[in-house]
Amino acid sequence: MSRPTLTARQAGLASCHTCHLVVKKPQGHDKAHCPRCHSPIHSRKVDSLSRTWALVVAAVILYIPANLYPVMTVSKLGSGDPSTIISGVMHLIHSGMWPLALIVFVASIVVPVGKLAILIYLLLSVHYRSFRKPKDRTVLFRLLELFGHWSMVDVFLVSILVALVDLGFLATIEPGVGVLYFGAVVITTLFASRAFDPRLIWDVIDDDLG
Amino acid sequence: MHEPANADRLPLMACHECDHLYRLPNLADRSLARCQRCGTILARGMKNSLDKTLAYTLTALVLFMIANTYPILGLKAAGQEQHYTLFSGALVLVQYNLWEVSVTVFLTSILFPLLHILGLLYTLLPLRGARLPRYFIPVFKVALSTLPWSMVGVYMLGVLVSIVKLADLATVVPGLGLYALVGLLLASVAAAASLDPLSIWQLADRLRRER
Ligand SMILES: [Zn+2]
Ligand SMILES: [Zn+2]
Repeated sequence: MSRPTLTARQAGLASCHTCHLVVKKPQGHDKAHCPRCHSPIHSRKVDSLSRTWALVVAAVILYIPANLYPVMTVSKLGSGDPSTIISGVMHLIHSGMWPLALIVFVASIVVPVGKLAILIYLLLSVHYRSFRKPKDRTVLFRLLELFGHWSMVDVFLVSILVALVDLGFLATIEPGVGVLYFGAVVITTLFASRAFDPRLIWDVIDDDLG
Repeated sequence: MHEPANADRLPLMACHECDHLYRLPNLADRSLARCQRCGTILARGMKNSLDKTLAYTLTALVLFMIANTYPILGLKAAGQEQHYTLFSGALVLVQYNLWEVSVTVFLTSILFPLLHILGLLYTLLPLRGARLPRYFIPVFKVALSTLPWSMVGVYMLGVLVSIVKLADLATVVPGLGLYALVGLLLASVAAAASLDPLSIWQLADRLRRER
């Protein structure tokens, strides 16, 4: 296309978060609502950067106890064997189930760490008004939305094993407090990526073009 | 995406990831409109989107009920046998003072998937007969907002991993609930792929105006 980039914000418009209807941008402190679905209209997510930073910092802090404390303890014939997120993945690798071990490794370690790293990178790139590869950064954001919830697999796994395994003296599985912290990390990062507004990546560039 | 000739009559649309403005053309079946500068999917063209979504969602409701009635997995060891259901799996952590985790599991594996299915059926069944149901807006919003928090697929992976982990401890017996859960996952994926929220909002808007 030959004409210069025109965004909704530059045209004095805003689009509804829920139903994507394009309406006039609310002025100042006006509280505007979407005529089609009645959701509040904001040109950009409110306080996106500070909310995302707060949630990312909380998730980083929670990630420490989430990996230090066991998520469950497997007791066989009376002797207990506590396992953390990382030792659980190791156990799966040693059992030789490679495809499944790889998926769980990605879901329980790569996804949470990668999500926090990507969010911090996106936040910093917006903070320092970066012009570098806005399209690639938008793709990174999309990856967060696509894969973010797969880390919940560890929380489900613990609840399934504890509910299923109660074989009296033979074997029992008890949950550990690590699962609480890990679950909190997953939920906090899910809210963090929802708080981030990818349009901020492009605003820097659009502002510069006029 | 290129500007069609009669652009002024087409609805405006802003890319929700980079805010670029477009006039949205009428899309052919199975075609996509992507944002030309960030690649985000703006809209999908789909024939019979409403009928397909309804068919898959009704299937999902039946499978959801089976998956919640029958055991997911059973365990056999040394003459003992036990099993668990979706609900008992969500509930068990309360006994260990981990009720926050229990609530999270309950919401993401049971309540949100159910609200999503019921919300879609409540809003789409009347729309199909060109009738706008009462409370369409809040109910359809619930149906849309529970989708990202419905984690049947992730739960399924958790079941697979637990089968592998238990293999050296006891004999794991898949229950009827597990097969229903697999079906529920497939039906949910198909329903989500055929759902076109934009055309639903437009249809509801049109019906409200005609009323
Ligand atoms: Zn709206
Ligand atoms: Zn875009």
